[in-house]
Amino acid sequence: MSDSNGDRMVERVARIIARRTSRRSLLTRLGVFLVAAPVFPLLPVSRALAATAPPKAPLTDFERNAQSKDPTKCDYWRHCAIDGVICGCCGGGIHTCPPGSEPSPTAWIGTCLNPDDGRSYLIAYRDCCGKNICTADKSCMCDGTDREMPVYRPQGDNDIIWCFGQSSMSYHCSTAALIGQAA
Amino acid sequence: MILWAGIGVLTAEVAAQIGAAAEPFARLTPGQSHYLESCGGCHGIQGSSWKRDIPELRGAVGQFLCTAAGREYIVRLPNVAFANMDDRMLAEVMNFVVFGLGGSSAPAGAKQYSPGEVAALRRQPLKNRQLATMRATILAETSAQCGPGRLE
Repeated sequence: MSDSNGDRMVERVARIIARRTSRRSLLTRLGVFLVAAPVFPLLPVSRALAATAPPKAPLTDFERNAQSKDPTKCDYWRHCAIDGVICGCCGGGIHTCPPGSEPSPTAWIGTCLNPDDGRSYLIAYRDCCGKNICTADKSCMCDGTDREMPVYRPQGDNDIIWCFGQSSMSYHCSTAALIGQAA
Repeated sequence: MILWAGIGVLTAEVAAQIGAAAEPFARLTPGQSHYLESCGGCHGIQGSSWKRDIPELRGAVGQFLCTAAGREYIVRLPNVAFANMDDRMLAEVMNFVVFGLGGSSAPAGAKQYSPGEVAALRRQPLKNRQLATMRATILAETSAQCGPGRLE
């Protein structure tokens, strides 16, 4: 019984719909929908959503505490992935080797956030080689690890001495030259 | 080539929008950024580095696109195939390396790498092979086909 009741109810609803609408209007509406569908992805809302940048990664410990005033300190923003002695403490500069040492043709490259403009920049940590390790103050010996990979992925690890291509593999200190703004 | 010209125009537009004075450093493309982080340390920021042991890319690497084997070889190289990036980004990096750094060394009309092509090639990485021998064979073929390039 309940089945036939249900049948009757559905039939009644179907008949009401059939009386109030025509097949042609259904086709018209369906046609409009089909034509309109490809337009929707172009509406401003969708475009605004597409333009939204992917959620930013949370700041690293280094990035939270980085400063932009003193390049001879480990917390200077460009040193987010430096591993070694800052050349600025050894008679060199942020992109110059101290006298008697030579820049390596190869370098470890990292990406650091500049706290002044909130943008990320590619930084080349070019080691100065051909001279014994610089004996600077302990505060000049840094180990930034942002975006570094474990040592079993050696291409992504900055513990390696980047003096490849130099006549001597003796490590002296590291520079932190700015290459460009990250994409 | 046309694509790179296009990117150049786009970059110029972006720089104009942001304001050139406040933009002392060029905004890199995603392909450039990933190249620098994953490859540029050894191969060099401009694709030229320690020539004795590190293959030269600048003005040279496009030569590989002269043959199908060469085109496949440079994606199947272990450090490329196993690079820590997805197929889409690896295709962008390869296109930057071959057409951007490689410049006119790529044969005229050479096709860009697509993410799908890169995905298929990196699933067949070159392992336990004599890479130097393979490279020499491939470069001999590209020289025969397109004339001698800068690589040997």
